[in-house]
Amino acid sequence: MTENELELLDGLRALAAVEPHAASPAVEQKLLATFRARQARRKRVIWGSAVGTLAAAAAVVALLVRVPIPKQPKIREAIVQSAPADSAAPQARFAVVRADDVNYSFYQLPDAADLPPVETAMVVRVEMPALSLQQMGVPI
Amino acid sequence: MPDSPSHSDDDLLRLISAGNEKAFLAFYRKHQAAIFRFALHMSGKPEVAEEVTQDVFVVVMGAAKQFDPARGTASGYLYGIARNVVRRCLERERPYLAVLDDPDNEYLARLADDRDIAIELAQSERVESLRKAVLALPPAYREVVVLCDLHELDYADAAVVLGCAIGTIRSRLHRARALLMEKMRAAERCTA
Repeated sequence: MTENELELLDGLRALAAVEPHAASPAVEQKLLATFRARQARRKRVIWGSAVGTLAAAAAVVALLVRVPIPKQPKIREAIVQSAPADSAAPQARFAVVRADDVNYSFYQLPDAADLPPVETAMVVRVEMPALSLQQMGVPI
Repeated sequence: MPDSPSHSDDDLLRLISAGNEKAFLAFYRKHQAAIFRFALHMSGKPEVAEEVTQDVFVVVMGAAKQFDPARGTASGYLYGIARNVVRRCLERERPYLAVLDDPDNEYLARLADDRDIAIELAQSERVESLRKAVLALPPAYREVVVLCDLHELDYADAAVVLGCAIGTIRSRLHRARALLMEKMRAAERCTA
């Protein structure tokens, strides 16, 4: 290092010594106020999201309680409108079908033999009055 | 207690990210002077230096979690933030050369009027012209002089702060010192 460089470094050290060394206390106060404000905002956000989550959970529970769960279709008693079998004047008659009357047996569809062979199929459950089935030719 | 010396910077930053006010205060008190002086040496204006110091620690409040000790020291992390904030301030403020020529600049006036300092320092005029010369350096050279010569960071730390190779620090410092000596010689010729 040359003499000039050493002199320069001495000058720089003197410069570093003569300058103010710290920020004023006002900066610390402002920063503390900012820190506290941020913490308060952070707490509000945390509490807000906690309350929101709880409210959402409560809403879901309330919905589950109120919405009836779909039950297994069970025919206890149904009123079906039966078409007049032998009357010329159509007149609605009502028959009461009791649960005891329901037959869960499988019946072959009439004329099913003429249908092409089924490779893939979807089974659909349909509830129909026995009388309608009889009219279609199902031997029940 | 967060302000006890047993707490490392890493611990303090972890506590700050968890919202610990005492940790923040301890961290601020430990590092604010260095950041303030860095900003002052870079800008030449105490009000800018205070603004930079405040902004740096506001960034720390929000980003303490992002500090990775594997990438460098907390000081380096702070200098890195300060460097960006200073640059932004310098771009926003009027050019620093105008500041140096401003006869109403409070800081310059205070330094010039401070008789005690002038008496204590036999070379006060020289120091003053050196200060002006440092401020007149291009920012890339100025920050190397400020970090390595005024703040006595080693080349490796300065390289981390400035995001460049150690060789770059060496060459910039060499060039910056040459520029300073040139400016000082020119100033001496003017006064002679």
